[in-house]
Amino acid sequence: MSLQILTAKIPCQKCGEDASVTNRKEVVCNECFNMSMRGRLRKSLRADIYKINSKHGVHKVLLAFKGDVNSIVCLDMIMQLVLEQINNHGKTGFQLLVLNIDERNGIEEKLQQVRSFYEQKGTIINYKTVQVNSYLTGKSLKRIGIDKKFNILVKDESSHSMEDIINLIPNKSAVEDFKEVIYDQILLKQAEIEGCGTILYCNSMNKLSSSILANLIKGRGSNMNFKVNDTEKQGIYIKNPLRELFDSEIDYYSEVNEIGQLKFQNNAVISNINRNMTIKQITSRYLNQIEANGYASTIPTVVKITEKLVEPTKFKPIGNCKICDEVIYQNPKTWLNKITHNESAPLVDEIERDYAEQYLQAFPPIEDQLDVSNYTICYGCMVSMNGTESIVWPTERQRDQKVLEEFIIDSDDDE
Amino acid sequence: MTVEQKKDKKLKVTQLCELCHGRKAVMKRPKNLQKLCKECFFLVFETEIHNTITDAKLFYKGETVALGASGGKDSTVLASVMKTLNERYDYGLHLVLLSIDEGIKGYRDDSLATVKRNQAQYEMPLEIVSYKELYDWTMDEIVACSGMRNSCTYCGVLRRQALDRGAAKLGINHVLTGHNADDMAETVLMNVLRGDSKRLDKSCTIKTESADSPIKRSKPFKYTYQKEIVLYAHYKKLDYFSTECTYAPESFRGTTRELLKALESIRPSCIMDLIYSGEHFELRKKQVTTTYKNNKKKLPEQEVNPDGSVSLKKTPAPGEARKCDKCGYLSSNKICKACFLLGGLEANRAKVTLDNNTYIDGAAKLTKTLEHLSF
Repeated sequence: MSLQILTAKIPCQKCGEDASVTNRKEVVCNECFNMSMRGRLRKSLRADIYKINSKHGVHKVLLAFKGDVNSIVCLDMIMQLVLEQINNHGKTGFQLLVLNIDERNGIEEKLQQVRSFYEQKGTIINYKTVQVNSYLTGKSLKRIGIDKKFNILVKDESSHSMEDIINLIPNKSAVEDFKEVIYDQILLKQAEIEGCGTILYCNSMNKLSSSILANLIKGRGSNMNFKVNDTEKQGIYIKNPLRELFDSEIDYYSEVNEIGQLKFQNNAVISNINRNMTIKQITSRYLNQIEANGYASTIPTVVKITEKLVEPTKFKPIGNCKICDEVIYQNPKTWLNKITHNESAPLVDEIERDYAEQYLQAFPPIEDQLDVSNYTICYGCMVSMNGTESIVWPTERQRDQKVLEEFIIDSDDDE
Repeated sequence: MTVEQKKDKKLKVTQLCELCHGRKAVMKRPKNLQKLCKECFFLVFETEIHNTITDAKLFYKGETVALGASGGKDSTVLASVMKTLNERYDYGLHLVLLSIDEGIKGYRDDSLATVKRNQAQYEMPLEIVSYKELYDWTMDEIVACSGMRNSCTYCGVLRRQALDRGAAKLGINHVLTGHNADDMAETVLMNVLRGDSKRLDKSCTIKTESADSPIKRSKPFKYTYQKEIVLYAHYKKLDYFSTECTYAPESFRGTTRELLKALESIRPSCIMDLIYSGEHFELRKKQVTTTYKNNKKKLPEQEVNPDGSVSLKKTPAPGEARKCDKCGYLSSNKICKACFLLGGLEANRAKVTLDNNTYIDGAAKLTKTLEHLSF
């Protein structure tokens, strides 16, 4: 959706002042542009829990902060709401916690800079940084593999850091996929620890649509609506307040409000060669290209149609994925066995049988190395594991084991 | 290869087929990148199609089935595999080839020649139905009138009806088409990109039956990769016509195809992943407001024709099949989609034509002429 900066002197359609920009077929000044963008965010929040004297009490909100322009803009818009409430009522209706999952050097200093920026405006930001390794807490490591019949094979694994675990994942797209799983679960856990009732993600409409396509392509179509619609997981609301805003609008907002300097500089160069790109990078490039080629409404269309999707009722949920914790509706093992045939044509002579024996000596089947388990893994995770014999993954300990660990203080008494 | 030749030619274990481990692998299977020998590839390819057919219960014994035949790789492999499976698993089917001549000079005339050869090779009866005789339009004329960008929309609607009419002419009510997994994945992706809520949850159905058509259509290649179809045709030395339709790359489907190609280079399974995703689509049911519900009967539907007129014919009684006011063919609306599209074209059709006007011969003919030029 095109946003055009005006050079000619035209009055703003809303207030009559000098307009600065044409956006969504409206000629507006910067102030009205800001108001309209903030209005869209507030509409997306869609709850009275942010209001002062709400019947729900003071609600705690966690903002998933990545340091990119989207996070900065989302934070700024929420801080404007906080400032308005402080100026008008002397207090706020909700508490904000900015949470960053530390994956880059220097993010701590950047967060300090953000904090002092808003301190100057008269408000204080609470922030917290957590390490990716926190994902390992309370979990036991397992080596997980898949055999030819799509059985899930598992074996206990010795200690690894999250960095080692990610390095063992076979390709860029799978790393991107599993990292998303890790971050989502860390955010959920941190929200629980901090007593937050809501998690806010900073995804714009462009990011959401490319993420929708990427999930569709990764075989995660059954849970796509949860990525867009406001949803609830373990009693915590998950929202995307920037879902009505385009990237171009977010960039312009950051420029107008001079908050670009708070952004964490990302110097990573994205390749243009397909083989060096991830699925999300390819879908994002496609959407940008198609928008430029006359199919301008594709990005909002993708988001709107996904909003209309619901949980599939034609399948009965069979449980949650041991890796990503998403609900599994259609058993991927049964489905994959239905569409692939893995029996060989018969060997006809002694030479062929000799070769087969040599092959099995050189490459013993994975079933000999790991044990068949009753784990359920969703289709998306199974496909992301494709290309490697097995991956190492932290899984929740058995409930009984957790109880024992929590309540036994001296194991000597067992004997 | 004789046993002596095999003994002389020593293979490394890394060269062996990953399924039987006893023969030399000759190809990498596009579906899962497994290295396979020819024998194992033929077996898995044919068995997977058989499994798809039996799992979806596509036929009953003794059924007469029309195979949509264009002369391209998909329909040629469809005819070959269906003949093989029909004999191997005793389906008891009577197979008939059904071709549509869309009227694309330099493309369809050549491919129809291939269909005629296939008819002799597979010993199946053949019926050809043309757009010209059904609609008085050829695809070349349609493209000359409406441009290339919408060509697939027109061709798709007209071909669907033409296949039905061809099948009805032969007294057959089941048509098999060569739509493969790639086509299915493209459709899933396209329906999301276009926000097509009417078709989204039906993107992956293997058997389609609609109010618009008395003929059911099935896709036994739903889980078969296009690249595997090409490999099968290559190793089986099948006779097929391998040129893509001249009008296809300009369409929206063309851009989706490009996206899929880019994705396949980093994730070969993306075709199946899309189908798996598509099988889970379910749309929120529309909420009908009470006011609309109560007023529904008082406000009868009034369809506006492409020329702006309205039809005054009465609506059929409940249970009675609705027919197109214009052509009399089954339709869920007063005017069938084919007549609706053609009505729009008719309004733009040139009233006067020049003698020997070669412009309407289309891009395919022009390309072919250029190919034969020598300097």
